[in-house]
Amino acid sequence: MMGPQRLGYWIDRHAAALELFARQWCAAPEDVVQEAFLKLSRQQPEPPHVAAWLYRVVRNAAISAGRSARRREHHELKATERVSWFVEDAASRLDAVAVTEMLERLPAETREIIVAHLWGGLTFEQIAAMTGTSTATAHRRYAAGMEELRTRLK
Amino acid sequence: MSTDDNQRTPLESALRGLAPVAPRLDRDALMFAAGRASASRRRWAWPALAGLFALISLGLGVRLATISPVGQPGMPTPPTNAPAVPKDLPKDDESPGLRMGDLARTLDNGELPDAHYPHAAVLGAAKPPFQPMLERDLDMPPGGLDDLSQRLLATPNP
Repeated sequence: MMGPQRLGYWIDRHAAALELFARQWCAAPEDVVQEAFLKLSRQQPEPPHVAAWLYRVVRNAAISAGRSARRREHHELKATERVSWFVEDAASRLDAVAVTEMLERLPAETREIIVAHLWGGLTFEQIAAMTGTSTATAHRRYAAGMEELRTRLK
Repeated sequence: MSTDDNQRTPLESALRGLAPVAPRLDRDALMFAAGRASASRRRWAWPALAGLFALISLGLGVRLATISPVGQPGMPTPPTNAPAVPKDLPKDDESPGLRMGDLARTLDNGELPDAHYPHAAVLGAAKPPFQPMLERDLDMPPGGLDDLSQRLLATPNP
């Protein structure tokens, strides 16, 4: 059973990036992330790679929640207001809304790799294990996605 | 396209510099829910254990009340045609000399005195010629018990 201090550490470290990761598939990422942390608190023993474990659980739950929501509220989702995935930062040379839109245009299998690697800090080996592909495939998709972003942001 | 910060491309560094929006999940509510789930699991364990022991105790009690020990395998049962125990059992203050006399006569006859030793009737089915065995156990020469009985009979009672 994970103690409160350790659980709090993982929440503070990964909650925001996990919500960003889950937002790719579902409209209520906070619910999915909360369930993942509750599940983590019940793990005995603690997973050897907590971050990779969290991303895998959140991914599965978010995909499932997204499917259920699409079946239930097909028309409402289409009308959902578009929100930025990132904090607006005047010091940054990138526009948060533009980056959000470009990420949304990427293929899902490419976008999830970029988010998990850049903001989640997962290695390509961990991403490959999570997505059920080879490390080379994960790396190739990441490179292709970054090239596409670079082209669009010019 | 690398994993190290110092090897990132400018685009990767710029993207990494964008912070995801603050999580919408309620941290305090999450910690509370985790603690409550932990406590509810602990509350479940002891009542379950107590219930298990109660069921075991109940089962053992029912078994004890419904199953008679008579007739159980491994339990000796007395023969139904066993003779009744005679009422004229010897008194406790009877002289030891008399009992030794009975023993000597018994050894002479190869029988147990039924009158003074009523349990001999029960054991009657197994009356072996035990004198040689007794002499061997007592480390006496053959016929030693006969000599002893003769001497005891010759000794007057006090």
